[in-house]
Amino acid sequence: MSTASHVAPSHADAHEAESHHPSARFYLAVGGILAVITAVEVWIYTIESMRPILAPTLLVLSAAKFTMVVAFFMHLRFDNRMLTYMFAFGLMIAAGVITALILMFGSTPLPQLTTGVPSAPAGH
Amino acid sequence: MSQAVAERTSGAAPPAASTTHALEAEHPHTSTGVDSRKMLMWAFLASDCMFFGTLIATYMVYKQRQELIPPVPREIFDIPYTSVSAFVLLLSSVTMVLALDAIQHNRVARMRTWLIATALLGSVFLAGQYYEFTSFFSEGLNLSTSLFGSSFFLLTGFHGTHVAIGVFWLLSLVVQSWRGKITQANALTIEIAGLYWHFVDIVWILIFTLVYLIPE
Amino acid sequence: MAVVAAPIPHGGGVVVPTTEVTRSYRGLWSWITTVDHKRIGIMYGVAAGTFFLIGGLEALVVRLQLWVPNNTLVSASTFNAMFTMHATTMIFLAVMPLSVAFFNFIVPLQIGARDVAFPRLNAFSFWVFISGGILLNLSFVLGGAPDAGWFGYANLTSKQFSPGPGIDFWILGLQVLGISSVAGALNFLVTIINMRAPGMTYMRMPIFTWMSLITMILLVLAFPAITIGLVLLMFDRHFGTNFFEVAKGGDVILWQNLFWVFGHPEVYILILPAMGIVSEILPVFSRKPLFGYAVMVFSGMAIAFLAFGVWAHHMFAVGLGPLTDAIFSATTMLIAIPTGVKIFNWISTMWGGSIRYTTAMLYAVGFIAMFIIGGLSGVMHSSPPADLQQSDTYFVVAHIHYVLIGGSITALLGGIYYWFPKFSGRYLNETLGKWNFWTFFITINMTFMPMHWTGLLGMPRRVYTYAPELGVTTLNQISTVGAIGLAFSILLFVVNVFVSLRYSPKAVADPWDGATLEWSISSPPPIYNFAQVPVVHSRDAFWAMKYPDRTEHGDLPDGDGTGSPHAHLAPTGHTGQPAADLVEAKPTLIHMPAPSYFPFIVAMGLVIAGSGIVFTFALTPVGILIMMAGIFGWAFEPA
Ligand SMILES: [Cu+2]
Repeated sequence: MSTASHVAPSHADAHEAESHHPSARFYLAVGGILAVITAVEVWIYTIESMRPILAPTLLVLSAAKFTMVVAFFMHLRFDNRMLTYMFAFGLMIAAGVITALILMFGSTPLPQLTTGVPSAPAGH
Repeated sequence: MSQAVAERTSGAAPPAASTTHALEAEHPHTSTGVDSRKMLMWAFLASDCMFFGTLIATYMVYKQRQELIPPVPREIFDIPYTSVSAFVLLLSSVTMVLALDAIQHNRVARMRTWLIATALLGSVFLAGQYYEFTSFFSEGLNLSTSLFGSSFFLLTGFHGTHVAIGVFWLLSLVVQSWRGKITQANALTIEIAGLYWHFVDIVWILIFTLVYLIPE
Repeated sequence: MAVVAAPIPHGGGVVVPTTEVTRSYRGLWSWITTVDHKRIGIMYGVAAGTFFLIGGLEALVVRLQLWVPNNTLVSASTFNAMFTMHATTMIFLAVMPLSVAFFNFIVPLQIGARDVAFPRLNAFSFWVFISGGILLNLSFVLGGAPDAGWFGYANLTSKQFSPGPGIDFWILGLQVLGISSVAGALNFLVTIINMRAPGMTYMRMPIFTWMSLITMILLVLAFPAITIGLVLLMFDRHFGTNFFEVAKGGDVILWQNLFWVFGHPEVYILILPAMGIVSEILPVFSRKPLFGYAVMVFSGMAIAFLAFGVWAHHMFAVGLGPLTDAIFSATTMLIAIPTGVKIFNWISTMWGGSIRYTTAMLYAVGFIAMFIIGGLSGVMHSSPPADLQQSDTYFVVAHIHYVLIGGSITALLGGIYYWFPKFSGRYLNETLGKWNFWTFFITINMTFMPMHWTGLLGMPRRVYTYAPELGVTTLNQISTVGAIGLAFSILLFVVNVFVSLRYSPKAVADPWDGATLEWSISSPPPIYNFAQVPVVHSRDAFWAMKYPDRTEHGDLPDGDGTGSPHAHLAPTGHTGQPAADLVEAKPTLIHMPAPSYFPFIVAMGLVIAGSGIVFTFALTPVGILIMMAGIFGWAFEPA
């Protein structure tokens, strides 16, 4: 059990990872894609026929943006795995709690309020 | 027996040099090879996911039950205006990563330019949020108008506070760079500030979609 | 502080020549500026012990009030304040910081580190904690203590129903303690992952370190939920929001959700360190390695994951609907599995071992017995129909006390008996210790066992009195007598600490023939911990060094032959200790972090800023300025 390879855990892969620094051009390209996705998001928001699938489409697009920023701008893609595990675990728990809360409150009938003036159906 | 122990202890690796360091900052070789300060920031961001997660959950839960008290989200949001804010914050993420790239190539002056640009874009975002809040107030939406008002201002205000702290941090880095304290060797200082800044950006990506773009 | 100052003669210095300990820092200033994890651990321990006594006195008031039906010893409102402060104090100011004391003192030693990853952040956590605790208790003299129960259900906490400053003190105290906990947890998370000695892979880490790591993950992810919940409450009380205002559409159930999203992981935050302590004590006094180490680790991970998916079992009485009830009931039953597995592991560890019943071992075995009872009544709550009967009765009170006193406190006391030589350089007296254990064990059962019946007979918790017709008078009187006995037992423990610090023989480095690295250095350890950072080749690293012929996970050679296990009975006969050789090999200079007063300043700034909520909001900018000045000093101070 006491071979040298066991003595120094995982120093090597970390140093290897340090050398992966994307170029400035790469960052600009990522920024460009992010800007395009944002523009697409705003654009489909204005299209009436997209309404039924608007929410899922927007969620997928923003998840893509989220992932790109974390992976490239925050270097998680090139960094030690441990950092990915840490962040992903927190994100997963947070997402789970949000989803559970929305479902729990969505499933109980809402008390209808009558204190305010009823508003017109949402139009734009 | 004690002899054997001493040998087992020092046998596998050469004995430590005559001066050894207890301080993490001076000790590059951590167990994982990742600098502890960077790991601290990532762990904090994981925790911050829960902070914003709880706030977003509060907003989403309350959004569904506030149809009747105006102003309602759809009427009051100015999507073109907020889109510009979203672009500004996105752009600030690009300038931030360019600042990191510059210092990693030992270009201090260029890094400083990008840092100032990032801080400026952050300030523009904050100014935009200030304007948005005042216009909402004038349209009758405030903390006590409705659950939508309460949870909207708390969520976006909490995010705005994060941005403000980030701007402050960036400016202090600019000051430090003037004093010659930031070099290629400690590019990590910039990287950690960048992690925080990008996180603030991705939270806005979520808020922009969940709060502004998804209707009802 | 002076009491514990004596055992640790070493102080902080920038460079400590190990050949001579130059200056020995003493006095208050050295404690305020210390960044040494061992000193901070001792301060946590002393503070938590003090708060434990305060919380215990509050419990005694509750028990005395319930001595006879329709008692008028204290008023209903005093009673409310007493049980609220008792629970808040015990959870946030006694059990949690006592665990933190162990994290601080033991974890860096177990992983072979010279300090934590961020020593000044560690000091900051402590100063924030102590000021939070003091502020919370100041409420007694500054306008009334919080009295809405420890989970402060909305809208009992609204301005309308709690107009006084009590709830504001509660919000302030919990927020401040939360900041301390999260800062500390982030620090120890990084420390454990990043500061391990060469060769200490994850699966070679001592089990206490493992359970600490899982506790840190829970702390970091659970606290934000209550922080936000408290922010919502604060805004409701002071800035006109409607989060919990039913008339404006607010939903009081949201508070319950946010509180228990934090609250259930909190239960594991309270019990996992205790489990880690017991998992250290049992192998050493059974002279066998821990049975099923890997299973222990993975069940710990399973708990960390599942802990976030069971919170609504505290809310079955709300009427969440059959689907929600069914899901949370199922996850609750599921989380009982990794918890139950641990019990079998502990029993199997003792099976066939050569067991020595020291006081520490008695406490560890007592823990298993008590935790089984507390765990079983816990699983009963996972069934919604049963839970509906038990909710808000003394049955739940019995359950939580079996888990927190029979579980956490029992294990923590065992841990103190086990590590006291390492903390202080002296042994705790074993005769007093055995008296302490048996009185403790008998009285906790006497106090809390009858509460199962009290509850099932229908006595609600948190009501200041009861009618004689309910038929629970005798049961309540047994509980009250038990509580007085328990106070006597704790008094024995306090006496033992003071007597032992003064009169006990000096401790050797390795009195119990320990398995882990903290026993390889002197008692108490030098300021720099390890003169030479140890290299680890297997699990139970120190056993491997002492018994090179033993197979990696095999049992130890018979106890009495080695000379060291009973060394505490004859402390002078300390020969053949391999530990000594490790300490001999000294490098000439060791760089240690310098003392710093900036953590103290930042902590004070933070607390002053927060105090705005109970005094006047004019304090907030002042506090923020102090805090910023402190942060700048901290950032530019040469570390
Ligand atoms: Cu629970």
